This record gives sequence, C-alpha cells and structure tokens, in this order.
Amino acid sequence: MSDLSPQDHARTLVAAMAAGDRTALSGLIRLYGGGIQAFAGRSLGNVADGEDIAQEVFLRAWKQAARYDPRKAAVSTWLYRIAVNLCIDQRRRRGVRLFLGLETLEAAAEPPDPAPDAAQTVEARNQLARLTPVLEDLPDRQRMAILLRAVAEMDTAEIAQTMGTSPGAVEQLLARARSRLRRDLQEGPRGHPRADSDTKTGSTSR
Amino acid sequence: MTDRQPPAPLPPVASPPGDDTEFDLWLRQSLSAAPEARADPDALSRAVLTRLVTPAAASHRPRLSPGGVLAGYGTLLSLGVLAGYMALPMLGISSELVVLIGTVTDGLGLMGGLR
Repeated sequence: MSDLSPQDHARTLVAAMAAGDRTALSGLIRLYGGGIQAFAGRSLGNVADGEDIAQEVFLRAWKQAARYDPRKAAVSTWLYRIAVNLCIDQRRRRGVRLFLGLETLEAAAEPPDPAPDAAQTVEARNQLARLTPVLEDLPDRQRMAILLRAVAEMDTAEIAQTMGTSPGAVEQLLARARSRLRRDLQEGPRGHPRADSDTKTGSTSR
Repeated sequence: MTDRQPPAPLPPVASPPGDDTEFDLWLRQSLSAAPEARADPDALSRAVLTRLVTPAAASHRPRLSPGGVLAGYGTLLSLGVLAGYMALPMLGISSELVVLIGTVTDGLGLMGGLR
C-alpha cells in the first residue's frame, strides 16, 4: 500500500467504497476532506457552509462511487467538481433567499471565531477580513478558478477539467480574477453586478 | 506571567505581489492563515459517517412544516377555485349566474367555517 501514489491510493479507496467499505470513505476524507472543506468555505465566505458542502460532497461520492470512471478524471478532480457544483447551487439559493428577505447579508457572512489567539492570528484575520468581501465580489467562475488554484493547489489543466472548460479559458479567468483582486484590494470592491460577465468565456471555449 | 504575546513569526504580506505565481502563493497563505480556515478531516469523517447511518438526517433539503404544507394546499385550492370561476363564462354561463354560484359557495364555506 505504501508504494501507491496518492492518486492510485484514492482510486483504490473509491473502488472499495463502491463495494460498501465505509473505512475507505474515511480514508478518502482524510486525503481530500481538508482541502475540499477549505475550498467550499472560502468559496461561500462561510466556514459553516463549507463544512456542510464538504459533508455533502463525500455523501455523494459514497453514493456515486460505483459510477466513478478513473479514465475520465482523477479522484480529486471528480470530488472538486462535485464541490464546485454544490457551491454554485448554494450561492444561487442564497441569492434567492437574500432577494426574498429570508436571509440577511449579516447572517450569510462569516461569524467571528470566539476563541482569541496570538497576535499573528489577529493579523491573519485582518487580512482575511479584507480578502473575503473582495473574493465575494468576483464573478462565480473567476472565484472558483482562483480558489481552485490557491486553495486546492491545482494546475491549469486540473482546474479546466474540474470546471469543464478549456485551459485557455482558465488562464483568462485566472488573469481577470488576479487583476480584479489586486485592484479591489487597493480600492475596495466596487459591487459589480453578480451576473457572470465571463460566462461566455467558459461556455464558448469548449 | 505571560502578559505579552510572542512576536508574530511570519505575518502575512500586507499587499498582494505583482507576480502571478507569488500572488497565488500570497492568496493561499492569506486564506489559510486564520485558525478557523483549517479543516479537521477527522471531524468531517465522523459527521459524514453519522449522516450515512442516519438516513433521515442524510437529506439536506429543508422540510416543510405542517403549516407550510397546509398553506401550499390552500393556495392550490384557491387557484383552482379562481380558475373555475374564470372558466364559467367561457362555458356560456352568464355573469349573473357566476355571481350567484360564487355567493352560494361562499355562503356554504362560511357556514362550514362557523360550525
């Protein structure tokens, strides 16, 4: 087992899950759970929502393990694709709830952590507090692309496979996201319309 | 007495770097530096396994309260009644008769409600 690469190990775990092995599911969560939870939390701007999404990702992986085809995508790509779709759905639902007044922006925002820490934590939280609204202001596909790069540490090809688009389109999304983040971190988010201005990039590039 | 905090060993960069690779690294560090950003895979594993063995909790969709279900059926019934009233003139029934039918059904409804 020890000479298996992480991807081979993950494939073995998914095969075991398809056979009903729950310890394999725990193994898969240990491999990818932290990354997926961090990605979802940052994508939704809320740690609690990130936990819910991560749970849902692995529940779906458990149910769909028998249908996973290793020739089509790596296990990590498969899992992150589920996470991306769930995050997009969750943001849509949140948008509807905000529109209907069933949820407030304050409720959707990150709750403060009650546990105080050392000085560097304060600095890190300040940095995060600056970043979160700026990331929230990015169009969905730009935010997903930059988070898959920064949080999931994927390369362009992996991001393209996860988002179902071409590597060229991903490069464009990343370039726009970085440019806008740099600008907004200096000037503050401008509250551009949420409608994806880059949707065409993703859809026409295939 | 430890009334002074130790100095921060690696404080996050204040402003994003211009180079793309460094920018991505800066973003990664900034997003993962706060303690609440660190996920606990063991806790996640326990939560997922708990949801697996409790099927009722596995459904993530919000359930309607009995009041919500009643309101839904009431709305459908009202829409059906309204559609019925609108269809009567199309069936050649005069508007006076429509008003009469409406009055009678309203009256029956009122009586039923009062009983």
